[in-house]
Amino acid sequence: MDWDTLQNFASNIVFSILLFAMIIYWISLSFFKLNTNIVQIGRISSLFANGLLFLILASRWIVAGYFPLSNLYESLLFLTWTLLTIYLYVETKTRSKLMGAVLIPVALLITGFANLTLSPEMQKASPLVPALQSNWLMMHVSMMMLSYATLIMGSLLSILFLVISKYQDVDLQVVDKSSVPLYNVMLDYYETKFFAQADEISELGKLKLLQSLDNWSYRIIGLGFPFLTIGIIAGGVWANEAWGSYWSWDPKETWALITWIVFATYLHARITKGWEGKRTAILGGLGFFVIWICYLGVNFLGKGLHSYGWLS
Amino acid sequence: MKQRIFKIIADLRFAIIILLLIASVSVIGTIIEQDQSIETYKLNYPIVNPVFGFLSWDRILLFGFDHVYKTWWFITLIILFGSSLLTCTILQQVPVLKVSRRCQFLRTPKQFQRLKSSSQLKKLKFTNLLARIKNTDYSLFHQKQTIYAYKGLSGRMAPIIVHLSMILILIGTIIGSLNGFKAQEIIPKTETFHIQNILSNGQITQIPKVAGRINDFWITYTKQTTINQFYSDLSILNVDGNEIDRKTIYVNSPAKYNGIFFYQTDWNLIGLRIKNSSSTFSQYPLINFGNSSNKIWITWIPTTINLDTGLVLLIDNLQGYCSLYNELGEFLGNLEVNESINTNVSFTLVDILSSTGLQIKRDPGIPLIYSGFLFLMLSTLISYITYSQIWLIQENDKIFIGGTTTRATFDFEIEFLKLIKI
Repeated sequence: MDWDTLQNFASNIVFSILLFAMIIYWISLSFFKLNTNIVQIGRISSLFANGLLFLILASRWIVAGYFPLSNLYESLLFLTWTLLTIYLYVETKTRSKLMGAVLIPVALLITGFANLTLSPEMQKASPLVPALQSNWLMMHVSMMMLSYATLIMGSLLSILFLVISKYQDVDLQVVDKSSVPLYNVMLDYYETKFFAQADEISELGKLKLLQSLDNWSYRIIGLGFPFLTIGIIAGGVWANEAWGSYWSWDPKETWALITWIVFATYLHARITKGWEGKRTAILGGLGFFVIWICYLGVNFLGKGLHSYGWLS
Repeated sequence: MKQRIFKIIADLRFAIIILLLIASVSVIGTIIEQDQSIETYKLNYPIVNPVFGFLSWDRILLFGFDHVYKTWWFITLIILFGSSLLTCTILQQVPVLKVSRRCQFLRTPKQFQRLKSSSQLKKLKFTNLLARIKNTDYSLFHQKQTIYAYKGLSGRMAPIIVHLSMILILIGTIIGSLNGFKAQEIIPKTETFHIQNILSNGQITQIPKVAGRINDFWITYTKQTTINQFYSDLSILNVDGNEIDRKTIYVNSPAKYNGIFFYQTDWNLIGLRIKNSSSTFSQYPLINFGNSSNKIWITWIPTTINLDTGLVLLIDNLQGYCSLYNELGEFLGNLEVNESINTNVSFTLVDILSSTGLQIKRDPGIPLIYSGFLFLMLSTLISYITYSQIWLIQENDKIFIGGTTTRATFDFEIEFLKLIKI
């Protein structure tokens, strides 16, 4: 069995494991009476899928001789791997089932697109064109992928914020005046919702959840933003070493800048009076769509250095 | 005075609006292709049937959408952004910095109620609490019965560096556009060139009088016959035509001389040199009838004196062979360098003449821009660190403890709870 079929087989397995994990997470969210063991199954299976992805990428690196980030297929796999790694880390830190429930569907869609929609021709590793034969390839593209994954995670949490708050204006300061301690917030919210004697306690739990979501998305985007900065700068320096022009308003570069601007405004809007809560979450949610346009939309629709030229 | 206050209030919201404006306007430049000829716009955005119902070429040219990033209004937006950045840094961030470096003790228990996390303790001893705080990497300041502890001051200072490095980058860009130049030269192998084909220069640029010579140009191919790398052997010559410096450049590895960079960017085939049966050399020009990414050259060699029949030669690589076709388009075979063909007329392919395309550039703003980049990368990372402060007062047998943090409220609450746990 040659490497190509082996890798194809492995990535199909990854897809099915992620599907299984997604179902587990959604079940455990809907029926919260079940204890956390069900979630453990989901977590372990996504850990296994992540390890398998890592092996696929490593084998591609060894076989082709260069870092596995030279075409769309490899970058999609790399993105899924970083997404899963980040989600596993965040879920361990926050101990919230929401992370997996929100992120595994996205990872599933990406692997699905990579394996099922892309032709085998596009999946094959072909020799690098002269412009890509540089050490900057590793630095720039991996940093951009890492930043995309982190920012996707953060902006999904912002969208979740908007969904749970049902797009109403939320005053998050109310929670601080109460004395509800803040350990496992998920558990609190759902337990109080189920056993609540009064609606006020469940409302408080919901506000606490929203406050946590707000802070988590802030911290995650706050980490993804420096990554994006480093990625864009690495791209500029590479362009300068290759063509003498660190910025040429290429559609991909411009959209990366637009993504950077949107998340910069997200980070700054939180300090602006009256914009906390819903409006910052809208900016965060907008960031989600901007990332996808930047990553895939430009390649398929635009012309320029990064174009794959499908629709041009 | 009123104007100053106005600017302070308007600063952050103003900056956010400017940023979002810049972002939305930049989108236009990605949808409409930039810097094309007027004919391209006339073709793609006709007045009779405008794209999206309103985009016709005259409107595009009127608003400058064909060169969005060089229009006066875009540059104005960037200038506004830069000045907003500058005023924000000077007026708001530097004073905050001065305050943060002082020890801010809280003296009365009443002040504790205003803090995000506060608690009143009876069971824990003062010294136990102090030990716990010290274990979590706080800097402690002790005055009689009050304690002030903080952690992560660098996270408070880093945003200033972020703004300053962005300003540095903008200054570097301005210097580069005033003082730098960009030129392109296509030089046949073994020929000499001067920097003459200037693509862009600034208002105070001085084009250097430098001459160069391409000694050799070659392409390496992979086993799958795709291009692996382009190489040019470049010599820099002085005024008398003597060589001062010599370097082989390839894509991603430019040559540098006196602040001028020479990049390998393009290539072309210009002709075939043929020797006929009577050892006369002729050169037939090659025309590229593909596009810039799929090049294929063609020429025609007559086989009769009155030029009415001939052979068509196609070539698309520099591996040292070309393909022969007759006038019906039938493939006759490949002809390698130094190989002869013996049909009605016999000739030998002697050489394939190539030229290399160089991009020549000087940008004096690069050192500033690179240092701005470096500081921006580091400072955005350090800005992630959260700045936490904890206050303690011991009054009789009661201990009041409180704390706040700038960014990581979730993590801080857990840390705070661990501190006051019995």
